[in-house]
Amino acid sequence: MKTIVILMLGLCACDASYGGFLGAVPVADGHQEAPVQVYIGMDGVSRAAFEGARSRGAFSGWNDTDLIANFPAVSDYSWTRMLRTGTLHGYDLEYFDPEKNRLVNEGLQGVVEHPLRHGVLDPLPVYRKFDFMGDGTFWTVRGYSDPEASLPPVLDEMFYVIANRGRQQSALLTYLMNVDVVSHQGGLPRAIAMLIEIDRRITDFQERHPNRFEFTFFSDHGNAHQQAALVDPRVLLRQVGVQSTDALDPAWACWRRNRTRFKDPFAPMTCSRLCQPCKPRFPRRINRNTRHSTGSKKAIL
Amino acid sequence: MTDLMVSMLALIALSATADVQVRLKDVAAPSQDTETAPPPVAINGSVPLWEYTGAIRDTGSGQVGWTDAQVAFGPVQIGTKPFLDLYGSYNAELKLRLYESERIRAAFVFGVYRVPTAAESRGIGNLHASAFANPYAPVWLLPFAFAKSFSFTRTVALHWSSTALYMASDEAAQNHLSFGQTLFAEWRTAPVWAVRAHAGITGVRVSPVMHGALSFAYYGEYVQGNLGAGRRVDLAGEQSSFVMLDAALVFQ
Repeated sequence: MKTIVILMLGLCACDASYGGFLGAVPVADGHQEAPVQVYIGMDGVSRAAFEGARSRGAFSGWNDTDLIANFPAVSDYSWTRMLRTGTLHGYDLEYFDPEKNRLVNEGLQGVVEHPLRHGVLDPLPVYRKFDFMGDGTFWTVRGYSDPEASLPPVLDEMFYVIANRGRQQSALLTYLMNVDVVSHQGGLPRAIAMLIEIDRRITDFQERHPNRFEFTFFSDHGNAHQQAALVDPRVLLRQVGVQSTDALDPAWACWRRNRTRFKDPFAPMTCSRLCQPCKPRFPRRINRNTRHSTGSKKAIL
Repeated sequence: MTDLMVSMLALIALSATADVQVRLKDVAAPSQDTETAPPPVAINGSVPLWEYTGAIRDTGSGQVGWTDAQVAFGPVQIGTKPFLDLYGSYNAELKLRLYESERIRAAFVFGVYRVPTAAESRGIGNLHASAFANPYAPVWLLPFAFAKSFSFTRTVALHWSSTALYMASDEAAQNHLSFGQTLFAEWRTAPVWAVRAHAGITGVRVSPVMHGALSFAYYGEYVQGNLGAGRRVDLAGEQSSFVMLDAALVFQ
């Protein structure tokens, strides 16, 4: 056990050596005059928090537009859909596996799985799309334990990456988790305060690099200030005219018995021999509608 | 900083294990007369590409470690950086002794690194984003350093390295020559422990970056290692942290 612990500690630390090596390589400026577009994927920024920060003087001069959240409005699913990085097994890391006929990553296992797939050793594909994700192996631990204290070092590293990679890339995509965490833990006032600080850091950065970097930030969902409440999806589905069922039979049993013939369980099917004709209905995907505006600073919420 | 604490725990555990092994084997102290032998100094620097020392190992001795694996034959020492090989950045290093006296040592260091395409995407997870990225073509790094080591007393030494780094690639923007100067002060607080301070300016002529760092080293007879953290600052004021880590088995 001791050996395993030591090996795991070493594994956590070894990637820092690689980052340190790449960080020591000088980066030449490949396009000195060209503007660099920086897109910050800021987790969990609500319209209310953005307006609150604006009312206190932040984000002046920024254009803004609304972005209708995906359903369900949770981070992993939303980022995956927004950045078109494949599919998840379900709406979230906890999902129903029809082959095993049970929930996967249920309960505490799903809670543990979340930070691991969110960025530590085995992140979901969407989180590999970001040019900047976090500031070290334990950034999620630090971010969740004290989001305000972890913000300055995260921003330091983010701006360092932006300034240097911007020497050779015309567009950058970065991720910032802290607003979502502080919204969950501290509500709207602390989220507003953090957005004001982020705006100040962006302004400072642009003053150090005049006319070079143009910022757009966008968010995956804005419901982090909502009090947690249990929702019965059957009620919601009935309200939009979709009938729900507590069990997958008989349609599901039909598919399971004939799965060698019917590979796609979501396709309408008719089983003539083994059971009655069945056409399972599933809700259509809810499309996301976006509106875009022009300008050098944009917030899409 | 949590990375640093975790790494430190690993290093302490490793060194403690080694100490126990040494005690079990009842190994005697080094045979050299400590009054007449040259003062012990670090063989390797801790800032990749830019920091070196003027000392090389004794003939036939070497180490196999995370950051450096090397062996010396007379005035020549050859080695590689295994952790980079694991990440696909194959590399080799040649160190040539130029001068050695009781107080002064000097060496030339020449390295070759082949950094594969999209090296920035080879990290574990996506947690140590680097300033450097090469999405389109591999990059060759060729550092050439003149390293000097000065032993002021038996416990205090200063290593000064002057490095030219040539980069070559099919990507036009990755072809350039840059320079760096680093200082690395070492204070042996105990026979096997040292406190080290690192400073320097690197990437001059391309993207100058200054760094400062503090590290702690353990020089056991069979196990050596060091651990530290530092800060980089570029001329615009952008800052970044980095961790220095090594653990190695030594053979004499």
